[in-house]
Amino acid sequence: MALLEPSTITILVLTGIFSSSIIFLISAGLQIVFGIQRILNLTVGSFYAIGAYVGITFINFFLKMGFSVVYGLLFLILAGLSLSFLGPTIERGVLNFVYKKEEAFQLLATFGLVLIFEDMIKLIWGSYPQISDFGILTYGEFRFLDTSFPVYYFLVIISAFLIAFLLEFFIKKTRQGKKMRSVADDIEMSEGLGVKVRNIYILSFTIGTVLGTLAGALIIPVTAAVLGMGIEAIVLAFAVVVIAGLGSMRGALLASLIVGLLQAFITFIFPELTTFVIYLIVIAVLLIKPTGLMGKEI
Amino acid sequence: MKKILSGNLFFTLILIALLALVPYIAPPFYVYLTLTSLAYIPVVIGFNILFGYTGLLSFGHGLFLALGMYTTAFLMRNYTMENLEVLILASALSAFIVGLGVGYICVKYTRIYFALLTLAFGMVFYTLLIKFTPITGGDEGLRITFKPLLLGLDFRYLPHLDFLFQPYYYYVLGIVIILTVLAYIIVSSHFGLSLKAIKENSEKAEALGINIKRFRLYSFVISAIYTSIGGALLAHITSHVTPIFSYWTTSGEIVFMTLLGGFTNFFGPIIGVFVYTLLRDFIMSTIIYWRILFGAALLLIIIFVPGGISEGLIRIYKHFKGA
Amino acid sequence: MEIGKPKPKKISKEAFPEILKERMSRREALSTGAKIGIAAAIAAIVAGVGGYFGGVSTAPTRVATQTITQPAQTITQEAQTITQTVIKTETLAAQTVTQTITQPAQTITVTQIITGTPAKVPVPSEPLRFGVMGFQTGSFAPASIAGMNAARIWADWVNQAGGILGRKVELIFEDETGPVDVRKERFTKLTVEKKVDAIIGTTATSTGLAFGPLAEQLQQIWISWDATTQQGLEETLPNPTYAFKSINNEAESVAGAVLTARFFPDIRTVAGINDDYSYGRNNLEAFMAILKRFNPKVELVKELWPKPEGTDYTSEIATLKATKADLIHSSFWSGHATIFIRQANAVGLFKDSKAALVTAGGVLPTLKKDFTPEGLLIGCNSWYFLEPRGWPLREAFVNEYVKRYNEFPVYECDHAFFSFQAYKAAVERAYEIKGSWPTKEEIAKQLTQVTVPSLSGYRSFREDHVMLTSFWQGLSKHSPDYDFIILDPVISVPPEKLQPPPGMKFHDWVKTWA
Repeated sequence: MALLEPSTITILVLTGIFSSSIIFLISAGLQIVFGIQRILNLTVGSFYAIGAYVGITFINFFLKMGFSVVYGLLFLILAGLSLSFLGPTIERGVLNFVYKKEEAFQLLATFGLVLIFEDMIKLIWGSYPQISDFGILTYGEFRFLDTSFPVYYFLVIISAFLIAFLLEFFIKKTRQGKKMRSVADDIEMSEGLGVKVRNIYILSFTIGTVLGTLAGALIIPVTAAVLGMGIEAIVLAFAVVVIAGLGSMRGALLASLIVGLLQAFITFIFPELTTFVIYLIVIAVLLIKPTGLMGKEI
Repeated sequence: MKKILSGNLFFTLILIALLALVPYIAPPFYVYLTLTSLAYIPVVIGFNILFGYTGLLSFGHGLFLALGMYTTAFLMRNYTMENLEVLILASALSAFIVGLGVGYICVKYTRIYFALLTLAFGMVFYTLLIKFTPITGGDEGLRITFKPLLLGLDFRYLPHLDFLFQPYYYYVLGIVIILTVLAYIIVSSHFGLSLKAIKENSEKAEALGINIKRFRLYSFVISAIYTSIGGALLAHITSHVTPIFSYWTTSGEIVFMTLLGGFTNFFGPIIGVFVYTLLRDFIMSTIIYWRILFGAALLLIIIFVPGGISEGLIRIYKHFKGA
Repeated sequence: MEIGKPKPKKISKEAFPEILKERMSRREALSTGAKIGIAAAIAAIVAGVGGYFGGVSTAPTRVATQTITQPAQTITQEAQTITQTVIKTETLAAQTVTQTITQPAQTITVTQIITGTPAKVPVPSEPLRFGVMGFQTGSFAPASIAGMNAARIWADWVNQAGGILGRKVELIFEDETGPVDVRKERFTKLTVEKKVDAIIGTTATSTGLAFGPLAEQLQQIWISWDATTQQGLEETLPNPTYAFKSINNEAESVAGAVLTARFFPDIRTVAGINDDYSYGRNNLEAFMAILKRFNPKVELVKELWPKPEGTDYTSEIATLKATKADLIHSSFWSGHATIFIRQANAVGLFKDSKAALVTAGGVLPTLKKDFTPEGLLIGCNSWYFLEPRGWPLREAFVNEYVKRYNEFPVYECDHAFFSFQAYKAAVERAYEIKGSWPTKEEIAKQLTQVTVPSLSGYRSFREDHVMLTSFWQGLSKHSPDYDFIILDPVISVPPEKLQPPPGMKFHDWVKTWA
């Protein structure tokens, strides 16, 4: 058996990029909050899970109402966006009280939120895996070499890149984005210049939230929503941001691609190493370049 | 200062007396819970030497807990080592070696980077435990099939719970008292004060001639040894060790216990262990949604009493004294 | 059997002098304890604890054990006739199985099966308490929760019928989630604090390995639904007194291999994807060992071991797709099976490869038609709720379960139901013999002597306390009546073809396969 035939490489690369897109969205949610508020927001994993569960509820509801499955992707995006209210709620309700505290406490506060959300999901949706009626093959299949892929994979990849581009544009070009950057650089100076830090905090946290919920909503045609998915996602996203460098958005894109592709290839070539590799890379990056691939100096 | 110290001494003696009485007065299951809590005391004291006194938050302390447990189980299974004293020393030794290695790498960083790095090491150890089945028993772990000798005395003829509730209980209590006193001496010593100085202002401490990294490393290793000894004591209670003790959730629990009791006070984590164990038991048998309560408790502590229960008690005490 | 190895029954007959000796030594222990300074008070406490645990009055027990042996033999004969009918169906043809068992079943009605029994002499008035343990959360929860639901239904039915010998039953639920020390803590709590009469439930092998010895130490009856006391393929607790264990871990794959050979005789390459823990590893090992007996040329080309707490298999599925093996073996059960099938189907994995999903039936109602293709080999463990035999208890239970929980029941319900039924029958039997309420030890002894009606038919425990059952596996099929897949054809594999006989090692047993 030839180790890496062209079709094998295609499968691994495509799958890798697909995973990368989802990982990117979650880790971008981590990065933006860390970049502005300097909090490693573990809750983004819970947002991912909630996005998935709510996405399923949403799409099943709309399909029952008689809408065509063709609009499925739109409903999912709508589900993701509709959860944006969680952002301000949690930022004002919880994070607001821990900004002045030690980093360890900020981390633990978000960890507390993760625990709460995990059980809330169980309370609402139960412990059975939840499945959407929206099948992945709705948008057809794409044949390449002697293998085929659902078109939906490409839609997710495109969406993720689009979101990455929009984020970049928003942060670099718009007024709000510029304010965000100035807060990230120097809070006191920005405050002196009349930037309402409070609003910027709410904004950045909400963006972080929506990135998580969108990722969750987009993944559900491919998989089932289960308890614990948020915690698993956060572990991967955490690896990505460490590799990327905390706070770096472009780094997150690069690191997501690395992690996604590496996972696909390692699983194929050295399956026993799959669980190790991510942590080893994290340790290696922290040892060699603790600021990550594209992070600012500590 | 003297007054506080004597207050602490008084408190300690009362606590010891109470703990010694537990097997006589408490229902069997609560003796069991107390025993488990006792074994966790070295763990949280060790953790707090690193967190409360040196300012380094380890999110991978489960590694050392698991190390102590696996060292014990491994030696008992493969070399039928029976003396608990030897097993404890062996656990301490393995923690010393591993702690030195891991610590050497980790103490280069502080704050969130330190937390992430320790987390990653804990998870690597977890994966190693799962993958090296021939040595570690994989996910099923290792079972300890016989009881250890305590001070060379053989209590093997006692049934499981009788053994745990009588000789083993007092043995653990003894060890825990020794370790606690020792830790108290350490943190009150010149060394302990240096650690505090590093925590509060590392640049100033360096200017005063303290080798920061070396002191952090010492603190890390001491912390690892304490945690590992806790693991060695715990192993005989569970008589079954599994990789889960190195998983991040266990590390999180250690953090939670410490915060619950209060990391600013030497005795805080000890209170934390008891309250946590009782609380978990109560919540787990009351509702299945115990994570909500735990999460909420964590948030409330962080927001309102970051010093934990011990700070709360001191506040109440001062309030009444003031009034 | 090895020479000099005592038969289990003999041990039980002579157990009493042993217990007396132990109690004597316990008193000696107290004096030693006193020497190291804890003194007289310990003696009081230990004597209290000792008296409490050893609270068996010797005289009646001795009488009981002697009398027990005789009726036991008659029951074993009954049990034998039942197993014999199943042995005849070893041809593995679904229809023969169906026919042989249908006949006795139809003569029984549910009310006959779930009956209360009147007590002749006064029995304790307080209710019988059962600790029920299972995963309340995480991806293993669906199966556990189904079992716990079945336990509730059983308890309600029995209470409606007047209880066990007039004693109502009460269930106390505990979570199996968490590290092993917490699980042991819960077991201890149920035993010494809640004073339950038996602990029933448990899913994970790690739980079983911890609970087996603990049950023996605390002298508490423990009946496991899914947990075994196997380390790898080896049994670690061959002669228990109080621990009652599930079918061996690898049984699913043994049955799966037999049926793979039957349904997919032409496969040459196999790729395995199993959780990275003992259950998964045992299953792949057993699957390949058995399959090779039928099909020596078959080759294992890829082994994937995703982490047990995982919830995403995208990378693994890409590897499977690229491997292009003829058959994919997986022992995923509970939520993992649902996710795996959905993700695999999304990239068309089942177009290229056949699949033997030997435990996926544990979450059968979640395997919706729109993502589960026809023709996958799906295993339903001991019970398939649409099995083709007539059996009134099954129909009544399915109706009740759907009414209460708005979903269809899965195999764990059968294990749960069987455990409770067996306990009930054992108590009644021991009571019949003894004439007063039996001790835990006496009940434990009767547990291997009873054959009871469960959801899947008559079931019993083997002499080494391992559950006996047939397994149901079959090919997935879309039916207009259900939104999830059903199995057609579905085949029952008899107990002797699932696990080696007591004391025999797995690979020695495989060698005996023709």
